[in-house]
Amino acid sequence: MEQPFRAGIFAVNGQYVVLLTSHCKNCGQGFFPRRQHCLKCGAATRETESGPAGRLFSFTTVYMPTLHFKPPYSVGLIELGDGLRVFSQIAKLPDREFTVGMEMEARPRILWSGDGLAASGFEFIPV
Amino acid sequence: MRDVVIIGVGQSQFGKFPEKQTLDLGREAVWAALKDANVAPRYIQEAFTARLYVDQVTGEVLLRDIGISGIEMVNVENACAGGGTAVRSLWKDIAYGLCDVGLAVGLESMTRGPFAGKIITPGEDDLAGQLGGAIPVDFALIARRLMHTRGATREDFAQISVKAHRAGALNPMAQYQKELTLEEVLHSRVICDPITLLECCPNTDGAAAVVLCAAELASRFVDHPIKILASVLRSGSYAFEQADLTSFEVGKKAALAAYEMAGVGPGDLDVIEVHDAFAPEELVHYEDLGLCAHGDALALLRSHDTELGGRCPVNPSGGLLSLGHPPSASGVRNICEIALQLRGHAGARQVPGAKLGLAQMIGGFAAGLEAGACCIHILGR
Repeated sequence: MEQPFRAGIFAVNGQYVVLLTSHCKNCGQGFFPRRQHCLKCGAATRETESGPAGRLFSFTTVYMPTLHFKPPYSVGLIELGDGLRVFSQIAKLPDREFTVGMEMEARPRILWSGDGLAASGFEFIPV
Repeated sequence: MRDVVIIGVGQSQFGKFPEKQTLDLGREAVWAALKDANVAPRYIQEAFTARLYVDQVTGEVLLRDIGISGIEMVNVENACAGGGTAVRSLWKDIAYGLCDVGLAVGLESMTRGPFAGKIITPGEDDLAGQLGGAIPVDFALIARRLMHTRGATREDFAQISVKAHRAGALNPMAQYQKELTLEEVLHSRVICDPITLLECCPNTDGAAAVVLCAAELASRFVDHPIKILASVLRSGSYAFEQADLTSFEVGKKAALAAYEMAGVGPGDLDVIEVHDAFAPEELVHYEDLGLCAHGDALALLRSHDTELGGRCPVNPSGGLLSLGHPPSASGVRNICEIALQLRGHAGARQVPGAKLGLAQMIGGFAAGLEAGACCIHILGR
């Protein structure tokens, strides 16, 4: 049985994923995950969606196990069109090395599973 | 507000001691500091104890067996900045006249803690933790940005570890007392690319302690008090306030506040100790502490000025990379190192004529924040 790994974080839009974000109505600061009030000026925010496109701001391949992932796996910070930087799993394509500035897009992916439950989420893949 | 001085420093051996109780390591450090200060346990009026992987009332139980009880005691946690936080908290109470003589301790057992043999990961509630984040991951992302924006190479990162271990080889309290070659560091197992095993601090157990007192009372105890000229603690800014990963807003702010408080500039420093849990971050701290202009960290590293024997040695103790890193102890240990350097008691790793030193720690990693906290002390004689 599939279930989002965390509620209110992302939405699947066909083949792509958009991230559920907020932007301040007053000063324009963006937030991910969503929040009702701006951390900079305190004003109310409006709900927005960001992505699926972004650029790879930084990346690393991890060679030790963590909570849900066996090594090796790759993660990075992706800078979305609106300037927000989000941390995400990233897919390593066999013939392409990661480079800073690389164009990426968010796609659905099962992040981990166990006990009959699959945690659905997203990863960014080089375009 | 009155002047506060360090009258005693002490630490346990740093290393892997799974058979030793964490509190026993703490007691080693406390006894060493009390002896160094010529202060009997009954003279301690307040105690601050930093520990991250913690049991309840850790300071009270630690000091129970030293013969200290019934006084004001506070248990402190601020990740790697916890030790510095304990010292600062005691400094405040003495500076503002709430007590005259006190003890600040940091202790940690990593081999008996929840992350023994593992990389430290945030809790299940942390969004980055859920998605594969961990502390070495954060520093690997910083390293990649240093490569992209500053032209840092894998050899530069390895050189930082070589420098640390060359100094650590001269420190009898270090976990690792062996020089390493550039090739050994570069070819050690990759943990989070580009960071290799020998560019990471190890899992370490250890403790360090300082005795502080009001400057006006110091001559009752010792003839070499070391003055605390600045004590600053700031919490991290939001990640969205960081222009890039190559600079911590909190690192810069804490440094500016410390220099202003001490009435000195970075160019006046003779000796510096920084958080080098992962070799690449040392470049960030060079810039955030103003040891060089923004963007010039690589030039500073490559000049060899931050090596022992250079113009402004950074981590003459051997740093977290060779001492090891029991998180709450390191911030007290590096203050002890600066005090020893200023006293002229740093043995083979002495920076000749050191009169002014700075000890910095940065710690705590959580989604949405650039870091948890940064703590800086400037010491003089």
